[in-house]
Amino acid sequence: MLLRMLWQSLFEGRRRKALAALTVALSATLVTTLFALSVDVGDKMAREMKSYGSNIRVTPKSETMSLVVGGVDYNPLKDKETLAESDLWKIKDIFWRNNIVGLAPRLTAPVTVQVGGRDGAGKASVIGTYFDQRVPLPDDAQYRTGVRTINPFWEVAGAWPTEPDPDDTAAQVETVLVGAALAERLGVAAGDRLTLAPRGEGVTADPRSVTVSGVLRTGGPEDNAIVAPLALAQALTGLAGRVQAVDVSALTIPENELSSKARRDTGDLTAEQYDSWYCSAYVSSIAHQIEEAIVNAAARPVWQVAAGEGAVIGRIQTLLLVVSLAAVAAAAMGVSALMNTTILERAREIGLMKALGAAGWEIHALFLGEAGLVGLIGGAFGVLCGWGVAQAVGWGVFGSGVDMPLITIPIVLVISVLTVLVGSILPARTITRLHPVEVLHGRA
Amino acid sequence: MTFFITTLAHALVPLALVVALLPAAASSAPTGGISGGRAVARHGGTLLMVGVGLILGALAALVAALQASETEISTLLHSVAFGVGALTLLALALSAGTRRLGAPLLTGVGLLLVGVLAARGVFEAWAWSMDRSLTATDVINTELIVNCAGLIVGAALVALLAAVTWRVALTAGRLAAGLALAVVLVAEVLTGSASALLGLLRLDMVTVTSGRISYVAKVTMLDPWVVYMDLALVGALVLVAFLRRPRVPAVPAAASSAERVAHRRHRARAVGHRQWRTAVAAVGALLLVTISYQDLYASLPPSLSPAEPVEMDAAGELRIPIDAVKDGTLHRYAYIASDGHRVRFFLINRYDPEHAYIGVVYDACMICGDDGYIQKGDEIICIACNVRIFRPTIGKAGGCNPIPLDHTVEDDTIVITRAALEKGARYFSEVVEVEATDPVTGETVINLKAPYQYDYGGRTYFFGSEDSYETFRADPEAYTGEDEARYLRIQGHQSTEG
Amino acid sequence: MAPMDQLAVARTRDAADATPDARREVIGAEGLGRRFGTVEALVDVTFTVRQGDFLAIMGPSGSGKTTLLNILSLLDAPTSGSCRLDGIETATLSEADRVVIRREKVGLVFQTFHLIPYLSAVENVMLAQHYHSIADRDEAFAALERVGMGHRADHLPSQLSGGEQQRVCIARALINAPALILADEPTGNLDADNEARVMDLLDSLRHEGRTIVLVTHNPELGARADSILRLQHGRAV
Repeated sequence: MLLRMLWQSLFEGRRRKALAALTVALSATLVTTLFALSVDVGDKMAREMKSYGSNIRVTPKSETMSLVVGGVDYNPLKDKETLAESDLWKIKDIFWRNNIVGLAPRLTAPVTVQVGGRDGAGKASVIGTYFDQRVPLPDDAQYRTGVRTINPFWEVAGAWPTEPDPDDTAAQVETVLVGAALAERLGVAAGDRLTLAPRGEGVTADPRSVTVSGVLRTGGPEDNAIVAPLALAQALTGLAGRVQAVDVSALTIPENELSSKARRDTGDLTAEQYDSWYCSAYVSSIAHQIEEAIVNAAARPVWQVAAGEGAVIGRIQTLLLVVSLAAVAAAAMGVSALMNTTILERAREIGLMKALGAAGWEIHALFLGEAGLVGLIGGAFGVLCGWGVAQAVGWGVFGSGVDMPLITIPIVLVISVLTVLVGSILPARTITRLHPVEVLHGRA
Repeated sequence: MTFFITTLAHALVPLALVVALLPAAASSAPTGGISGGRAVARHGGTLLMVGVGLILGALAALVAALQASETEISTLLHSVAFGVGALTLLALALSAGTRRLGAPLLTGVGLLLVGVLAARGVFEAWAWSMDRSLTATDVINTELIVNCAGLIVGAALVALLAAVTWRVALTAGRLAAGLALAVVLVAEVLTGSASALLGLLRLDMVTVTSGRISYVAKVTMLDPWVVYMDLALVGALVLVAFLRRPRVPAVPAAASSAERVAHRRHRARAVGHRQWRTAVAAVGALLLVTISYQDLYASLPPSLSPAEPVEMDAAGELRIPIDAVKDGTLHRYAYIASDGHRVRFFLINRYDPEHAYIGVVYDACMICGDDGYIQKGDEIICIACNVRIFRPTIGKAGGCNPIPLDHTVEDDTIVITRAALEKGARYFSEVVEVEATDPVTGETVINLKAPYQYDYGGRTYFFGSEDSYETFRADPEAYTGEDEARYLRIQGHQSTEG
Repeated sequence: MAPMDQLAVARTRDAADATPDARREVIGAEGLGRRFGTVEALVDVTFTVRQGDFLAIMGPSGSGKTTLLNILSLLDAPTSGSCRLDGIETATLSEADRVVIRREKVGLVFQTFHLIPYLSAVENVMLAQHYHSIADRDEAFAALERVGMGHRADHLPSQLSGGEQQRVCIARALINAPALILADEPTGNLDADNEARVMDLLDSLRHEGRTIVLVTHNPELGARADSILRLQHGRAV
């Protein structure tokens, strides 16, 4: 009976209910948008923290003494300190060596580029690294590693460059990759010849002539650089046998309380905790072991999302919550006013129900049930609109669509219903106070 | 999500039952009949005690977290719950004898028990979920929302269970409710005594005796089943309430309107009772499904794929063709060593089927022991520590990699010798019953039933009599012959390639 | 004591009660008074209504008719005196208990009908059943047939004439077999034809042994009652 009444009374006062639903829909749109954006990033961060693979960047120790003021790096030693290429195999010799999937060193050389057969030169940098380089290990002389292992998603139109064998010191680098954006800027394609001349103070090295073997697309800074075998960058900088950084890819287990405690300070751990941490493949313990293996090196896990979008979202999430809260409060107040009118308008009906012997909760259930349904409908509309707005914001701000996490739907619906119910609290008190004798005997 | 619902259910369902059953068990009428709203007001004291208890429990958890005094506080709470629970049980027994004295006493002590159980419940829920964070990052994400929802849903289900069971218990009557309450209290007192004793033992406040240890061990095993028993009791109450449901008398065809109205009143009452019973059954079933899913399925460690038993050929060699194992999946085998150790090992192709490089390893890890490895999709995972093993390194020692097993490759066959498998027997703890030979007398003995046994060089020798045992002990090497010493895990990795 | 228990007790007590007039007492009002602030709306009203009586309460506007009606229908409580309804003392009941007694004991007929606009005729009757115990469409339909409204059971109130609405209202008042039917100017909004039909309906109810209290200022209607309680300035005259 209650359900039948609920259904039939739903169409009473349609215009006002539509208005209330619209109010809720507006706030739900905002909440959906904000939720979709921030939960999406939150999910990515959680996935990153829980993933079974991590990246570690190994740099010379002094470079990690960061002296960044206002976005400008004031570390005077930046790019000056280097690691020895001959130490790299030690990374594959730590306790968790079998969990190191691969590694790729990095050395950046600023150069002037001259495209063969054309006049004029442009500035660019050469990133020297391993593609699939042989790195002899004590127990595996044929071990090969490089960016092709640790960055399987790099796309090359053309061929990968050929790398000189480490034992053949006379071999010269002949081929390089050009990042997609740079290739477009310079107007080069696979097969073109480039002349690379070192740029920068105090570097005396001969210009080198190389062939472009392919065009590289990574979505990262490599798109704007020339990516070459490490030996070329070493030659162009005069830093023979040195590297600036090493990217390491490792199989790890998800972070948990122990590892976050260790990340803060390994000194806080008890001996037992330290052992269990050291013998677990946390990214932090692997990084710690790399630091132990290579003198003067600092190894840091690279949290891509946490460092990028996460840093932004963490700071603005409070703001998002406050805005959402304000929207919800405004909607609740709007609904409250509408609900009040509804109840006053239907006072006779309420009086009659009381006269027929309805318990207070039965009348409340009817009106709050109606309000809840209105909230649900408004919320559903809001989710749809919010999804659209989130897409628009995604394309406008991030240049890509936003995957709306599914959890947004139930959350927004619950919030919408709660909005309406909160808005109905004050009006519902009118129901309790209403005295049937005041409304029943009036003339029609 | 189900973890948090289950944790709350384990911690708070006993409280819900005590709250629900006390009014019926302590009522003056055999079958109660109070209408909703007024009864809630009448039981305001209970609600207040629940609230106070919950707050105290939360405070206790806070203090325990800040002062790292979890054992002390948990022991205190368990001891108090044990004492008050026992008192309540006494009061219940008394009220069965003399109602006039017993019922008010039961109500009073019961109220105290409600507060204590609420405090203990919150504290236990906190303690059980301490190692389980709501999410990996502090930015709002799906996992965080779902887990918070789990907490809310769990608390709501338990509260709902208390509310609806209370109503059905009134129909089930004083006897049924009293009996159910007695069972709940006995379970709480029993498990409470063990938990309190365990705490006292750990705090060195009572001396450790083997009797106490075995009491604690036995009773603590019951702990996870208490909530199932509680839910079964709820089911039984529903059944009793069903048997005692109000019946609707038949109405004559030519009934007066007053008779029809009376009939309608009976029907309304019957429908009302049915709805309460359905509500209890639904809430109970929902809780049961959730916690049994979590306890019996979701929280179980992954199980190993079956191992194929292997037999040695006459030359004491095991030959496995590479073609049979190069498909990229994990091929697990088991060999029973001479003294009964079940030695598991597996073969897996480290690269693709076109390039067969077979890793031949024991199904055990130097660090984690013999829990073994499983394959999930393309990943090989150590069960004990959840580490993903980088497949090309399988067969190399180090880290959490499986321990390499000595073998040779002849053409397209992998050859593993009996001696190699025997050497790794000590990596595995599982022992099956086999026939062994007394090295002194040469008689056949059953390894698990032999009266004497002696470990030498990592091998276990079994003896049929004390004489042969003593003879062996005096000069083991005279009897061990060519048996090589086995590896022990604490020795660390042995180099397998020269 | 909970109202339901009280109801049960009242039933047994009535059976044992040997009053001079053998018919059971439905209303026993003694010295009823109701003040609103300093205004005395009702002063010391005493009367008895027995089962099967048809009492008319008459008086000019402002004489306290409606106040008395509200007290009799348990919508309001007296500030002094006592009022037994079917053996239950109602003057001291709480609001919640009055709701319980009201749905059991009182059927109300209003001048302006008060049907729920979005429920059909039969659903309006079923609503009274629902609040009392449980909705039963067949029984509600039979009640509508009884007042000659069976053929319009599924019409909304807005599709019914005033007289038809009032008959639905009477069917609703009767549906729970109340001890007392209270009609407040039931024909005030009706034309002469419909007035006659409604009054005939009330007459036939009386002949079935129903107890009716009719509040009206129309002397013609009052004349059809067994007895008349006249109010003037809140006092019975």
